[in-house]
Amino acid sequence: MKTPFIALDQLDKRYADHHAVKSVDLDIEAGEFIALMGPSGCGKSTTLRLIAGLDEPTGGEIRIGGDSMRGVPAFQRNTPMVWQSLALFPFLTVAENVAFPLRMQKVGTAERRRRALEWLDRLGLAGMAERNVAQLSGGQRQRVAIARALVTEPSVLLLDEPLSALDAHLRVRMQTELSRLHRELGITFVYVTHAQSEAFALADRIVIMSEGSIQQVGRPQDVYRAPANAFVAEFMGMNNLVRGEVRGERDGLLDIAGALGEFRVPSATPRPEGSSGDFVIAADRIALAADGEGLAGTVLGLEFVGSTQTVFVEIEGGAEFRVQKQQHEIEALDLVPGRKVRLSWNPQHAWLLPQPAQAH
Amino acid sequence: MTAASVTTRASASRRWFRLPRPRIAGSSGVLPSLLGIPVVLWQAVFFAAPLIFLVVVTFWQVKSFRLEPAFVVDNWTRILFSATFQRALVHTFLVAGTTTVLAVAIAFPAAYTIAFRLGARARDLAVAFLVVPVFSSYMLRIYAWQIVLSPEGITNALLGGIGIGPLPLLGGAFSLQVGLLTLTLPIAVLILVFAMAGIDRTLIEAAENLGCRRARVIAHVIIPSLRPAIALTATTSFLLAFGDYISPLFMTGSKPPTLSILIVDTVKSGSQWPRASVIGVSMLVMLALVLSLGQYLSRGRTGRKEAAR
Repeated sequence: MKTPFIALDQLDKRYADHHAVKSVDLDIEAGEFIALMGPSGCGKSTTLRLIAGLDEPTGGEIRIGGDSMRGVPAFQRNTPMVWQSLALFPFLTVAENVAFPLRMQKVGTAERRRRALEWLDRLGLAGMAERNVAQLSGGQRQRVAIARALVTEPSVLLLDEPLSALDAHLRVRMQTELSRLHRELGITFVYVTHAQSEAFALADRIVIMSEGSIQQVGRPQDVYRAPANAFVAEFMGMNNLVRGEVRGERDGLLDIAGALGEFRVPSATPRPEGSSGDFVIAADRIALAADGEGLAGTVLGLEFVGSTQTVFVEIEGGAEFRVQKQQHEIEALDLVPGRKVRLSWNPQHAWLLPQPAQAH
Repeated sequence: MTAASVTTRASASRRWFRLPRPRIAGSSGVLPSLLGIPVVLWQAVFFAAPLIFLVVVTFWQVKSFRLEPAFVVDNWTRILFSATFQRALVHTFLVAGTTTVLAVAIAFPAAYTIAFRLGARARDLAVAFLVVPVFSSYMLRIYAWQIVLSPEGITNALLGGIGIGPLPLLGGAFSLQVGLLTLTLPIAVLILVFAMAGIDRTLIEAAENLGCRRARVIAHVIIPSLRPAIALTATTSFLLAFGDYISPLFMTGSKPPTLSILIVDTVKSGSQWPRASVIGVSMLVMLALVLSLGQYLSRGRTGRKEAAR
């Protein structure tokens, strides 16, 4: 079996007042772009800081390239990080900022200047070398921070919400840039974000965390289509969670009954009657009709998200569903708030949540 | 009802603004400059006017112990070319310079410990202990040092107990620096503690993350970040030590005289107000020079480049 490039083994971090990271196990392959996601306070940034050695774990171990990082101080790890605040040195020029890690490695003046200029050029900052950091725009500063982190040609780059300070337009451009850099360099990127769009656009695999524990690890599309539990399903946003109980099995589909009615849901493994039958149905898999079969509901409102719109529907029985529709479909059905609609979906598209692990 | 009243108020305020707006927009800052008048008056009455008078007096004459308006440059030439003044000037510069170097050198590690090594409660306590001396009587603290350092004082009594001394602790360069540091150190440490507390901690973490050892962080991040604060600490210490009268008087018995001592001596011996003023004005010129040097140094390389642009 291939050994992972970065291995987190039962990694644990307790502070005086809270347990930030709880027994996290994670293997990151060399050259992988992995995104750690979750709501604020879920432990994703702490995990990144533990990898960089900025905090000491209170339990477990981190191995990078097979070597234990126990007792290895941050300055010896060569795990450069791009910070949310960028943390550029205001008392140094742009070129000096980029050359800083080389200076720490005692690279000669001429050599480090040459390499700094090369990286500035590579990130489209040629001619900015002698500027003051304060004279740059947000996007340019971001590039300086990335150049500074990559100038020593490390085998891993850590990014802590690097794009959250940028406006939407710049954010998309920097995403493309990061994607390009990852492809060209072939090194491991560990990316912390709370923005689903960034993680989906960039990452090979995403790690969903909540309250210090990993909830699910997988390719973005798999996590989106097949959430491991209710938390992931709701965190992914565009899923509708339906609570229910297994009543039986017919033609390879489970019969599930809940407060909203009776549904049929596929299951990979058999499930006994009376066990949990919670399932999710993705917002883009729901059909809307003026009448006919399906869940009855009332349109609450619409939200424009670009090429599609999200329709919020209140179901009789209390739940709120999100349905994603193209503009022309919305016009065809004349979906305005207050309109009565019927929701239906192909049972094969529903995803039964795995049974919760037995409480230890 | 509410909607109607809101509309009325809105249109009323629009109407109210319509006429005066161009004038307000044209003379930006009429109100701010009005608010600034008290400060300007204060400065004019209590700073500019006495200063101008001080300069004017340097050209007056003293005839039979009485000050008379005149316009003579005699006071300037006599003072500036007198060996006493020149010796006192060099001496004062050396004394204030030494205090500055000592104050920064002693205050920096102290402030570093308080800002970076102590817990929140210990830090607050340390700051409180530094603030108290600033607001307590300087004179009292100098008297206390006299008791500690005098030939029959506490230190010599203790040293005598183990067979050393008595040492001439009081009345030399050592006791003068002790006195001046009593004045400058608490302020120097306070300035540096507050400046260090303001350093962005992520800069320190970023430096470590980029391969900077803990020991090198001080040279590569903390000192460059503190450049303006260090310049402020140095100029403040220098200005306090340069103009001080109490420490030279009580800790060295005025020998050799500093410029402040010389001013008092000049006035006492023959009511030479004009010549004392010459010394005073010279001191102010030198302080202005030191202040601008401090300003220049505080901006740093990148800051200066920005200003030049």
